[in-house]
Amino acid sequence: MITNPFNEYKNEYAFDNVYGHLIEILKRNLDTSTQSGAVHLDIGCGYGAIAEHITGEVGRIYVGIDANKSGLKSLKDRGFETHEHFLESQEGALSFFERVIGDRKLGSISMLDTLEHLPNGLSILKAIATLASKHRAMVAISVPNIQHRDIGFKLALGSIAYTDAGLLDHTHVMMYDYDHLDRVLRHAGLRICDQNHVRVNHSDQFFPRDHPVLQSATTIRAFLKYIRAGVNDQDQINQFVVAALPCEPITGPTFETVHDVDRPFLSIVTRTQGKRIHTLVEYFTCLAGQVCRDFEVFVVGHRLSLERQIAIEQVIEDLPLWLKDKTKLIRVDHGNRTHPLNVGFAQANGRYIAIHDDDDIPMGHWVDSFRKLAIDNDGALLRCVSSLQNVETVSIRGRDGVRSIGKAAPYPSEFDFIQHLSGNYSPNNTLAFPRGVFHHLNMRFDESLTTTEDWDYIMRVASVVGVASSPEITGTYQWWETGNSRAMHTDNEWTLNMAWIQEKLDSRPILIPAGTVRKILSLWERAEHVNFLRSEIDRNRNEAVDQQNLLREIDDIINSTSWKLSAPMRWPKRMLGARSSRLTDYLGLSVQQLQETRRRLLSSRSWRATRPMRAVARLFKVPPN
Amino acid sequence: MPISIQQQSVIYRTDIYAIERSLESIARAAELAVPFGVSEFCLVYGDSSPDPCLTDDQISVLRNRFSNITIKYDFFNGNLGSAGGHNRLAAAATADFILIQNPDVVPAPRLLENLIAPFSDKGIGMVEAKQIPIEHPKEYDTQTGDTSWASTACAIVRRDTYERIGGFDAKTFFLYCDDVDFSWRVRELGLRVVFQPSAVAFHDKRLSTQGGWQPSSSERFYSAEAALLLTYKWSREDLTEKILEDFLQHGDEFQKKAVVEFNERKERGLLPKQRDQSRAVAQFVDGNYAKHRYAI
Repeated sequence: MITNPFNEYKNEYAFDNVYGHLIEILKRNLDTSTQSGAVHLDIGCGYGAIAEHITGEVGRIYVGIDANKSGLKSLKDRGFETHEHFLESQEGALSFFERVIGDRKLGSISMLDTLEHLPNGLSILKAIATLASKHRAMVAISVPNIQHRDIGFKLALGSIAYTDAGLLDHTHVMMYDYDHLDRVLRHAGLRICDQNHVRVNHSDQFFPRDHPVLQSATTIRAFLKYIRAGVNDQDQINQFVVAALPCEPITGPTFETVHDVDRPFLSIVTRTQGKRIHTLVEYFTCLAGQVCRDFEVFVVGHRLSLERQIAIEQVIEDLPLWLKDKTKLIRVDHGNRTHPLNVGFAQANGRYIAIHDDDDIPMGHWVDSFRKLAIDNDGALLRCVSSLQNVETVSIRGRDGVRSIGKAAPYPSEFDFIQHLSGNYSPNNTLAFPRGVFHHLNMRFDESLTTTEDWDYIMRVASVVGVASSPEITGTYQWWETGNSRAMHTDNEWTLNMAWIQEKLDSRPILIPAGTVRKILSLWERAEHVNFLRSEIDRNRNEAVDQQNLLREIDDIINSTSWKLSAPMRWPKRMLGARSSRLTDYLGLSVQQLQETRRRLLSSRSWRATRPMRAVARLFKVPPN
Repeated sequence: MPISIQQQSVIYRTDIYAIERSLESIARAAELAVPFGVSEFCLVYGDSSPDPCLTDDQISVLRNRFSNITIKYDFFNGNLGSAGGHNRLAAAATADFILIQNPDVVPAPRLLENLIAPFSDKGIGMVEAKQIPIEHPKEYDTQTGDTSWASTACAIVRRDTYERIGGFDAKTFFLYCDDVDFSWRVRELGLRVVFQPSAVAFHDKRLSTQGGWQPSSSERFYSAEAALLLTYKWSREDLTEKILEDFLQHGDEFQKKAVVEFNERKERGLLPKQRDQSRAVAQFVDGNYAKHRYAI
């Protein structure tokens, strides 16, 4: 055990810290209704912050063990039994524990924030397990969580800082996340039976406060938080608090041995309801013709009747042996149409996972095209091209078959992220998802969606791993005139799902692939141009209205009675060569020119001279003209 | 009643992996056809390649591996073409049915059952399987399956019918339209040629990135030549003339070469004897040999 000269770990009890959580987990797993007289052994007890609560709330006799004299003295002063011991070996520890317990009954054991300080943690746990097994006692353990996001975010961006105590206490000799804790406990012969972890939004590693990944309003923190929160629920756990019971220990190393797992290239997840067995036959016949056989198939039968299940099993049974061996039927009897995808993906062993529904058709290079694309784009979402073809079922001599009824039309040859924000141009059979997004990032299909669950998943995956496209047409997406998914859901349902997907995408930061900025700029320029054209049209339209109004006013003037009666006043000018005013002279003039003309007419001597005449006419309600 | 089938495939520089891929499914289809009455299934490869595609050892391995079927191999020592090759293989056949199939075709497990079943109707002379992943767009009757002609990428015929019509016209057709001509002669006998969509066979065809066919240069030449010969043979010289003129005016190099070949045949008196003067059998619709549901 490594001791810490900089910190004595003298922490107070609180209901929401590790001590409170430990008492809570003991209380809900032990019989606290009577004073049992059993001993609770607190190994690495420190100052024994839980001692009074063990006695008062759990009903046990508290016994503390530690190498720290100050802590033991504090406990002793408070009237508790203590024993000084430095945890070194399994045998030494066990023998010491047994001596401490003696003939007494051991009811429970705790070891709080101690395991991570032990270079021989597994040995000490084995001693604890042996003791617990002998007394049928429960063991409660806590360890700091190395996976807290405050550590992870900083580490991802090149920063790590040990501290005198806390998550990265400089005396820690082993770091634990939940999986590692679970594995070590199982090797020791302890099985976790309950959990009551301590969660904190900001840990003691929440520094420096001006680090962009720690500041609450930064885009990078929002992005990392979203991705990290999806992986598992350990991102905010400060300390794991678990209760464990003795069990058969497992063997082998407690650490991971890094080696390449022998995986097929592609796992194919095929949803079926067994409604169109003839399409399943076609699909499997195409799989039998694949030039690349490095794949496995999971047929996920959703809500199958016995009759349909048997029919599917017969199709699989009929396959040539090599393909039958690669194919497994999984029955899923609950959930909506999205659920089978999550079930199938969870089973998949392949480096990539593709969805191929039972009524679409893969070409002979369907698998191979993905394989080739992955060579230079490993880890990206792979996308080939499918063509859309209308089909129907025909029955000749009582045997069903598929009949194509229209020319196959290819989907876009390249995945365009921006285009895909507005809708899905990549049917399921065009894509292969890298297994890591499901198995490591825990990105799952959204089962709240009843349609377009594939589009939602594509966009979420694409925004994290990017997309590599091949223009190869590798399959046919068959569209049924009757019984298609479009017809099975209302327009309203499609619209709501679409809105929900777009809202999800819009509600958090996403990564966009290289080249997207230029596309956005191009779209922006196009939009600007359209706006300009629109404003030009509006301006021209307004000008035309102005021109029309001005011409009408001019026409009213030059055809008015007063203008005609005052014609002699304009004769001198006419004699000098001026023409009499005609409306046709003003057609084609600009608004400005027409305004000038109107001004000139209204301010002319003849028009001003006839003003009284127009006033009289108005009095007698004679039309002014 | 026990049924025997001879499947015959003409190979030309065919990769053994393509043969194995196909054989795995053929052997399984033959196994599944046993309860349906197919007691004997013989697969004959006729090799038109300059050098044998398969060695004795490879053939031996294949025979051991697929022991539920009989595998035969005939190295032609010359390129007989599709029609000539099939005639040579059929000449030695004793089976009730001859299944003509491309060597790279991967049949569905229940292919044989689906192909044989229609023959319970005595009026049917030839049954064609549906090719996937790219279905041929020629029209067929959705109630009866009746169609103008059957593609011999995967089609079955009674041996008796094969012999009655004298097999393929190998003198006229080397690589293309031999099956169209064959089908029409089956229909001349008063027998029906039907398409059975439940009988599916994977034929590894690919599309260009624009979604169109990608014919090879030899495919372009032989299909152009076959178009001229077929229209002539089936008494549609009006169409032959039209095609000749079109090829000369607008054709590519292969179509122009086909015109030269056709004219040479004509000069040497090697054009086939004309038939179907009443135009009761042959169909020429928009450059195709049946009405098509859509253009590819």
